[in-house]
Amino acid sequence: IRTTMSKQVAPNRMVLQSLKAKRVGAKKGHGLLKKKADALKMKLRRMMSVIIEHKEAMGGVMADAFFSGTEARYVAGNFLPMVEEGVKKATFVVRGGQENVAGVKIPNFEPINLNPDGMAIGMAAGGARIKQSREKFTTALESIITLASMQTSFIKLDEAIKVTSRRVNALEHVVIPRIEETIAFVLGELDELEREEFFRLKMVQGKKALRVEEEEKILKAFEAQGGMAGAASSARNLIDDVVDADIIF
Amino acid sequence: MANLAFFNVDDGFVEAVARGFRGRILTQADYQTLCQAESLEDLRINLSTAEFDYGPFIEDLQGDKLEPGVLQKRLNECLITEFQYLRSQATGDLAKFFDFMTYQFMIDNLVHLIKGALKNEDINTLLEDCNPLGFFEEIKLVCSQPSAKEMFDAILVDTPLAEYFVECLSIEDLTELNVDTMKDKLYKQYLTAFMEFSQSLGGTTAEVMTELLEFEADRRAINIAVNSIAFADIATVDKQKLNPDFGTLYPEGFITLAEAKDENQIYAYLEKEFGDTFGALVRDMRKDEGTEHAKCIEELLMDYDIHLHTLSFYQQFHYGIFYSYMKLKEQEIRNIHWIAECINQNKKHRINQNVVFIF
Repeated sequence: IRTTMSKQVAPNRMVLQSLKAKRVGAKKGHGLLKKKADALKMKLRRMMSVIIEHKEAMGGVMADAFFSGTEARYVAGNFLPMVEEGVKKATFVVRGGQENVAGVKIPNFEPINLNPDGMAIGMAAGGARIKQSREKFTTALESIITLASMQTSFIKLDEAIKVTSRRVNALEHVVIPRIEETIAFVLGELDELEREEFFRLKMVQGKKALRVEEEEKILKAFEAQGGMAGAASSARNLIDDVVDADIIF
Repeated sequence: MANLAFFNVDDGFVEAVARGFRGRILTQADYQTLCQAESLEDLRINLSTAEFDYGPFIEDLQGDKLEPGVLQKRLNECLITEFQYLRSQATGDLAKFFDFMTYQFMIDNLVHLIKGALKNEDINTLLEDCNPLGFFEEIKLVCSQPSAKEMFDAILVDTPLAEYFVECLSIEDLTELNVDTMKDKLYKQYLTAFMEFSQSLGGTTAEVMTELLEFEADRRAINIAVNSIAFADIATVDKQKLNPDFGTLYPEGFITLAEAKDENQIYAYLEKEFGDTFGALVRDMRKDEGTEHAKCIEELLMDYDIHLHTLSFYQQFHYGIFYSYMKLKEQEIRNIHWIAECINQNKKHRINQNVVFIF
């Protein structure tokens, strides 16, 4: 795979420049994503400890609630039909919301009690215990909703962490090494070209030196033939081949 | 003297039977054995001994079927059988007295059925929830009426409760009021009528029943006052309307209670004016306040009520013992149900909170 990418690029300075920019970008992205993953992981761990705490408490809360129901039944008898009859619409609703953790949108639920006072039941028998029981069950219901909310967030967060860490790993182990490979290839190619150029220059220089040597040889041979005469005639008029008279003012 | 001489002619046998049943009510020692049960199965075995009457009613409760609700139902069946036996022996005034005892269950049943029928629920499932003690044939007729108007007419024509309805409810109330208020209103009429009837019998019966019914009236007034405080929208007048016209607190006490704005006001009043009766209960309540097994004033009133019912057995030649016997038996079933629930829910340390020792 690594070589395929190398084959796709033309090894020149401009490509090298853009590759280097890419590498900087990838490294920066990698750092940011890693930070995000760390932030998410931290949140996840914190959430997990809260969930465990809640879950452990849940058993007790539910047992208490059911026991308070028993207490109420002891005094009030079977008051369930009265409750059923008195209910016109839901008094307890759940509102869905969103929380933003390091750019990840996480759903959460908020319990809303529309009728915290409840209705008057068992006025002549068991009212106080029924009220107590209602309060206990309300707390239990709130805990359940909180737990459900956290559980949902937990799953979403877990997914987000998986995606993020996959990206981090992809950048770290695939994208960045590939870019570096390509850069190395381009650099190598460029070095190769440079070496070729150098060699070419060297050749040219060698040829030139040879030629200069030969010329010098000819010159030396010529000097040996003409001697000094050659040197005197060198100042003669080239066109007329006549010795100029000296000019005297 | 007339009582002494002639009581046994008509009612001697029934009284003897009732006293026999009273002898089989669980004692403190029995409860201690029951409380030691580790599982519902243990409890069942303890209850099945020949000392008590429950054996035949609970012997098939095993495995999955054995759970507190079912157990309670079976024990109730036992009570009903005994009650029906007594009732079928009664003649004359005593038969009427027995009828009065069943009216309170009729009120519960009828109100439950009316409300259910108006909402078009299935009558057969509604009938299943009814207490058999308050069952009468015409009840089905009432529920099968198509509209509230016809239903109301049917109640007036066909039920023994007609006079209570006439006194306090109109056709509109049938659809508007909630079950609870309807019951409370009817119950007030019922208590008044029962009181009148008992007093018309005269003698020891009147004496004993007056005390019991007066306490019942006081108890209801206190409960209503305490329980309605959290709901500011219930008018003082409406609260007063639920109290009958007798009771040891009547009339100033009922007015003061209904006007109270917070619980402490009620307790302070009771302590000040009724220091040795209700005041003592308030002090009992204060003792345990804030602890896990704290009791409500209501539960203490219940305990005291049971105490009063045990006392009526110490008088002779009167009808009060039948009423008391039923109330004691009901409490016994509540006790056993409570023990069963405590065992079932792993809350054995709370058993003593609600078990009332009867004898």
